[in-house]
Amino acid sequence: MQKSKKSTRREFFKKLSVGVGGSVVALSACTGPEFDNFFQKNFKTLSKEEIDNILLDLEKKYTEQYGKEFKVSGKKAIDNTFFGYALDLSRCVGCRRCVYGCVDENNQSRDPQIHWITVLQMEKEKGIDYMHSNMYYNPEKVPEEGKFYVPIACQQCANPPCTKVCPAKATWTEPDGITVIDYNWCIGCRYCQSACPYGARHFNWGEPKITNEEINTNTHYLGNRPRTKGVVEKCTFCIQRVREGKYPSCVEVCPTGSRKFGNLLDPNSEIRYILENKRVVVLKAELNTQPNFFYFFGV
Amino acid sequence: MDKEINNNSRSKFIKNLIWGLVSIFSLGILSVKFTKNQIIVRNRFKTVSVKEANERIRAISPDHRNKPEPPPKTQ
Repeated sequence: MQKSKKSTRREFFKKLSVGVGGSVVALSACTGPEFDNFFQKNFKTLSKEEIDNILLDLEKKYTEQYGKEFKVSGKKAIDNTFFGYALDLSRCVGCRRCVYGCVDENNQSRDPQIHWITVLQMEKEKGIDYMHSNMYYNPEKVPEEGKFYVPIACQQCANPPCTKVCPAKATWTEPDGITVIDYNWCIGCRYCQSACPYGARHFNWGEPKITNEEINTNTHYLGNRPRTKGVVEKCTFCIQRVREGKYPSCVEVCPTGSRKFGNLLDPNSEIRYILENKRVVVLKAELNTQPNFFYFFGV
Repeated sequence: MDKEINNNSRSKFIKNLIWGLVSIFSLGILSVKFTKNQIIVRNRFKTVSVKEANERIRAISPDHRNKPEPPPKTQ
């Protein structure tokens, strides 16, 4: 009886030593950056020094991965800035230039395809009707007779349902009104995707594919830096551009000038002029999401 | 007695004013947003109702014709 007890203790120590040995081997297999990456704090809680180190590591990693010099910015919101967007429904012809301009600028996966902007074709007779809209229209020329077009991307809501449901606090609204995602903290639960009433969030079901020639090397940590499989992504008003004082790429690429963007706190901005002088409509106003993306009729 | 009436009417006025403000904000006719050092007041009546938006949409006829980019692939 006593003998069997001894052997049990011996077995326990044997198993313990195997377990400890295995853990040591597994931990030693982790290289420094991967270990740091896994245990990295939330972007909002990082110090300036920590952010600088992370950005340098990322630049090095992406430069090696894509064979191009990368810039990963962590630029904070500019003081006294609150961004707003307006889209002129009377000018939009549904050409989808904005969709592909956004794909190029924001390093969206080409295969499987991810588009942050969706252009919905609707019938004039029915008016704004999401149920009967068509995102796969493909005629010879647009606009088609009797149709109108409503491009939809993230509405950068002032009362966003998506940030409230995130269990990892991986998404939040910045002081300049842009809702961002920390891809390192996203656990891919897709709660935010379900909560968004505009279908503006997209999930990477597979490893995103972008060729080295197509990759945009001017990136922001909270915006268009390369993503991985299993994280959610969405429009950030081209955070890497707007925080440098440039327009988002969709505004620049639109051939009809139907897209307007600016600082809502600047009384002389174009966006303020539109809000003060045009009557605007927001999508699904009844949900009280308070979008900072307005639709208006310029003509 | 006069003083009492005055006090009553004043308190009635304040009560009505508070109720008025509460209903304006709760009905969403006015909404106030506090941002850095500024208050933005948004008037619901400046926004378009869906019915009016649809009427405006029917009047749209852009003169610009373009070949569209390809539609997204179904996932």
